[in-house]
Amino acid sequence: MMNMDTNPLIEVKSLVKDYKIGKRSSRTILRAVDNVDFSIYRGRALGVVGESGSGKSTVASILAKLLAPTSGSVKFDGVEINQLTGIELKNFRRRVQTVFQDPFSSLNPKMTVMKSISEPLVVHKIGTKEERIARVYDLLEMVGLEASYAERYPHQLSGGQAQRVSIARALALQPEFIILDEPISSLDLSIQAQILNLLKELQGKFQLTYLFIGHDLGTVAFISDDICVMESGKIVEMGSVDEIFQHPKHEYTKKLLSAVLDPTKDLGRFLGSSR
Amino acid sequence: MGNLDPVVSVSNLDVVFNTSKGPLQAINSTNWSVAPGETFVILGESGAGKSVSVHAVSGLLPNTAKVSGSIKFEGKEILGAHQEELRKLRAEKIGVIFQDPLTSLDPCFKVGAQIAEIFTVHKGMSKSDAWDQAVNLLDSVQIPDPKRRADQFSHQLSGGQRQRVVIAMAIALNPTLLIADEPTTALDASVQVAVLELIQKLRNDRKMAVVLITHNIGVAASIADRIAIMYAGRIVETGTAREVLETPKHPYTQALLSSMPRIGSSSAERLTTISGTPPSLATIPHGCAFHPRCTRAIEICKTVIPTLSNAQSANISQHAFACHNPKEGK
Amino acid sequence: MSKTSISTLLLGSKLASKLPTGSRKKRFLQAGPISIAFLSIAAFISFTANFWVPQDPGYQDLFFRLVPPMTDGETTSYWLGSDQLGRDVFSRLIHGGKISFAVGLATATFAMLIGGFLGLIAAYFRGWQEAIILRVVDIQTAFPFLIVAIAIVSIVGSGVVTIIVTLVVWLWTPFARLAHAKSLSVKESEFYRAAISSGRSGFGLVFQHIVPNIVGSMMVVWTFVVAQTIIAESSMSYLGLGVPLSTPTWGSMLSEGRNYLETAWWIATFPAIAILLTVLSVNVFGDWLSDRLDPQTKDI
Repeated sequence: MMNMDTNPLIEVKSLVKDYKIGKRSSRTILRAVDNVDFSIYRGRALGVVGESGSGKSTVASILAKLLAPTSGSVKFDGVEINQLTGIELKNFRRRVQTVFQDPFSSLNPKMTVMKSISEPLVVHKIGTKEERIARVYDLLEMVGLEASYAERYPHQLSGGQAQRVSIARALALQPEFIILDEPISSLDLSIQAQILNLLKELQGKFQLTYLFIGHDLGTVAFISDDICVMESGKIVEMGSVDEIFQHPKHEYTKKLLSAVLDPTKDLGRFLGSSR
Repeated sequence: MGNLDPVVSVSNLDVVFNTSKGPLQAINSTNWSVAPGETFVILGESGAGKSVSVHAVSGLLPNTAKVSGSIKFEGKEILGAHQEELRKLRAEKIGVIFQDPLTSLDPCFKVGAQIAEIFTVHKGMSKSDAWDQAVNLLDSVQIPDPKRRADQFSHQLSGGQRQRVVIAMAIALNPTLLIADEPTTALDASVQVAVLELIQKLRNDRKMAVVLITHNIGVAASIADRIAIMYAGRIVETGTAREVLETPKHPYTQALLSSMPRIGSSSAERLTTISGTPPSLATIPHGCAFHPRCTRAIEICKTVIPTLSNAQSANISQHAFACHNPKEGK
Repeated sequence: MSKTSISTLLLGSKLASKLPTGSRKKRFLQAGPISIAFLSIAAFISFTANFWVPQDPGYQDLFFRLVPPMTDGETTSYWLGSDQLGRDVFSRLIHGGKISFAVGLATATFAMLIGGFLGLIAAYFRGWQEAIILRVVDIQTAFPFLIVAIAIVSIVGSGVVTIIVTLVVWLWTPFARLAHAKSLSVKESEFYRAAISSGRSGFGLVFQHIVPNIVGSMMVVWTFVVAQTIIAESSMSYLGLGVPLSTPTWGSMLSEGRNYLETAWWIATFPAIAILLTVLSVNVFGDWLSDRLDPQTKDI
């Protein structure tokens, strides 16, 4: 049934997402995702980089089954996700989780941390109440939060803490695949590093597969095995991290690389002639 | 450059906010100065006090802020100056650009009109002259097809173009100082490069001093002459960009630099991180604010606030840092 | 991450400077509990009126008509005076409160339930449900209330139930609009998407995520609608559209006292004060509640 290593866990072919915009008289089609193909093998992390409007978040939403594609195929573990219903759909939701960008809007402001993290367990009817509570404490420990945080509300958390809670929630069901849509972009620098480390550690520990969306090449490179570069809905280049950074082929990739500001290499880059 | 008065010179600046929870000290005894034509970058994480610092200079702090110390603009004390005086200063000598270009522009008016208004109000120009000036200005901030763009509204422009318009408005009256508060944070990386290049060009052409705030180390490195690192309302390290970034002396600076994932560095298993979180203004630790997170903290760090070495008054031009236990050597 | 743009700074300071600081703040915040206390006591007094008011509100003693406050009569002391039919103003005032509170609470609650439900449906399903419901809301908002009231009363006849039904028909719309807007914003939030991603669907999404996040604002509007209803009921009774004249309500007392303002000012004045205090208290309560429910201002 499941071929662990020979078939990719996620397989995307000819994925298209169109939006109709404008008034009825002058409707135009905006193609947010334009025939995207890629695969992710189990245990690997695929980083998707692109600027705003590249379609990367749309791809993430489609893979998370939060948005329906216009056409194309998305297979999870060999099964077309478009056709999932009922129990199979619920199963999919067990195995695939998401972490979003804004740590605060990712948590229901009226729910305590305990309630937020245990919600997936409740939905899937896993464990008794006591077992769920115990699991939440385990998860908090896994993401580096003290047990006392369980009773807090989101507004009592810092950005980094809230994001850890989101990650704990994503792990609750022991998923296989986690889609991370700019999970650290809203966080302070020193906290970004902590969360990145955490994500990497969790991936190793639980053999997770990641789709990591980001706009900063440095952070994406740290967490990813392979990178795919998107522009205007299309994938313009894809390859391993080393290939992309050392031998970029596409103009756009090169442009993105040159836009990365490294404190050492770009020292004084914009100091100019008056010095 | 060293002979002239600094454009801005800040001494012993304290800013305390009066909140319902009690007074919150946002800035504590900071000293810094900016020479004419120099680019001074204030780098730090959120809550460090970077924005508050520059808003104190531009006089844009809210009424609940109590400011003490000394702020001199072109040699003249402006702390405590009248609102009218400050307004004039802001219009003519200090240009300010903020992070979000979308909210900095009025969506109801054409872009050209907003720029032209600066000229009609402050220079008494006629409407048509002001409009021409506006178009010229759009051209100087490298907006292609400036005549057409001047006729458009802000929502018709891209993020990068909007920021250019905001920059145009800030430099319209040829200020001697440009304050940029996280000007590129909301922009895509490639647009960020373009905007920074623009700031560089304008600064060189007009010989403006620039104070730029950012939390992005790369941005700071690329554009700064000198950098000040702020943490919990104090400057913890300051010096030339090279000094601070290549030979950082303060543990916070060092940790910040090593926690940044970089392209090309061997795919490390872990990033060096700083444990804990930046303190909120209400709960700043005693002694050195960084000590709970510092790997080099010693007893004295818990009780005595370290002062910035080499720093006496506003003329800081040496590599200075505030630490009881800095790492020796390089 | 931190939005330190000047617009936020200025806005924050504007809000902060509007909220009283220090001791002023304490007094301001205490107004909330005071209003709650006042309303609870007043409501309790009114609803238990039968047990303790000095006199049957309908009892007429023509010998003691139009006596000023603090006059002693045969059967009772007229603390607040008597009206043109010799009825004790105080007793009528208390009984009248019963109607006002009952109508206010009932109307606001039904309006909230109906309006909230419809607004939520519109937001959850979108499509034709939304189109129809919002269109009805728009059309109804365009109708002047009085005409609606007259129309309904002429069909149904007068009475407490009439007033409640009329006012519910009038007042469900702000709830529907609010519920619709807030539900939509919940649907767009990332925690809602996260819940879907966790496997939540249907009722779970509505009751775990949408409802808890819209209830707060709905309650605040509820308090204001209670206040509006009390005034509206008074107006309707004043115009003769409400309860029969024999049942005392603050509105009808106002109406009757209108002709005696110069000679027996107490007949209209006391119900007017009662309406004023009640409405003011409800509004203060609503303000207080809205501050309390917003987690950001709650801890200030």
